Amino acid sequence: MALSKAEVCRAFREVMAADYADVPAKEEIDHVFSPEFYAKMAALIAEQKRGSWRLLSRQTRRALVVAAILAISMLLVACTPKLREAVSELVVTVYETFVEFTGDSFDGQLKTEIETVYDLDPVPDGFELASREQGSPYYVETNYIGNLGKRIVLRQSVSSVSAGTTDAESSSSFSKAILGTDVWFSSANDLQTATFFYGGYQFTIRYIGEIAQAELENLVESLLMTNST
Amino acid sequence: MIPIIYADLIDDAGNLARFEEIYEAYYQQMFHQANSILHDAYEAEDAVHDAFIGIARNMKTVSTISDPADLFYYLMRAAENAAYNRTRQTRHYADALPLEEELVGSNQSLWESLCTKLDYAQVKRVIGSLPPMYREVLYYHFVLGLTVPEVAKGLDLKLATAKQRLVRGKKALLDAIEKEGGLNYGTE
Repeated sequence: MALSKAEVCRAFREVMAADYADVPAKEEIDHVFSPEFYAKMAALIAEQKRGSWRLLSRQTRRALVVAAILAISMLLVACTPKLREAVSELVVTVYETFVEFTGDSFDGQLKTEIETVYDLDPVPDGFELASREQGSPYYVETNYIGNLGKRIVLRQSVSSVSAGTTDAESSSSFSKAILGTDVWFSSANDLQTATFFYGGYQFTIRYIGEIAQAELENLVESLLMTNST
Repeated sequence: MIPIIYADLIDDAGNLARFEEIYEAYYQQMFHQANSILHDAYEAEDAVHDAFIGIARNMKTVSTISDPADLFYYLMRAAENAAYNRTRQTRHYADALPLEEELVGSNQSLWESLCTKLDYAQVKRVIGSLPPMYREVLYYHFVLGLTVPEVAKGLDLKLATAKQRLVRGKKALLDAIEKEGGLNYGTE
């Protein structure tokens, strides 16, 4: 007796179901998604709700992208030769509602694997080193826990890791040179982020909690100074 | 590094609402699949984001998938492919395959072979014996009813690669049917 197409389709589905039998229910997945993930998804959904966004913003977006890259290129030109050995290009792409920052190879200086693990040194007052996770040769993440739920996450990764995005609508972003390294700062609610490329690596310092801009810059500075000695 | 370009990818209010529903319902499990490949939570989150950009681009197609199980498989594959793209393994593998344009029978003859030469258990066995890369394109094309360009978009493949996998998948399926040796009732 011949099978129907529907039965063949059911057979296909049963085989596919076996492929995914070990996928847990979403309630059983205890991963705590990062604020950046939610920000990016919120930005993606928000963009979909702007039906006329493409037409209205393309020229503006293009102009902002060019301006940002030019500005950072000029900053890099001003760097000393010594700094050029350590600093990689931070490419900031400013869109209408979000900002993307990425790193491009600068004379091949970006590392391909973690060779030296950097710390915040000294550990900021009121914090203690809680954990360090190196899940692969390509990134290491160090957690510092403070009181009142404050937390600092230092993520060091190689060039293949995307630097991510910041929702420009709900956050403020700007770049500033610290010790000759261009750093991109962004803040949204109680999350402050500093992203920069240094020593061939990409660094992201996330501060969960309130922090003054000067203090956040001190954290970046402490990492840069530790490395330079 | 995958550049992220947001645009108004979804131009239908109903599809946008559906996109948000899909996101809320499945992003954790998509993360699980991506993380099982990448073993890096941050990379896996980025892969899920990449997958949703692709889904946003394909919402017209995705919205035609009505069976919840089919949608689940589609999304899990989207997450896996986004993860593989981040490792760049799949793309290298796909590019290494030579392009071929041969046609292996018609879709109708394939359906006839599946429906008339084998019993249910045998059909499951031959489908299960296929390499996953072929099984997924056959599933997208024959079960979900997607066109080849839609299959290519859904799997983030070049059109030529999707065609090639479909041709080879059909050939592999026909070979497996022949090897299975025809009807053998009472095996299930």
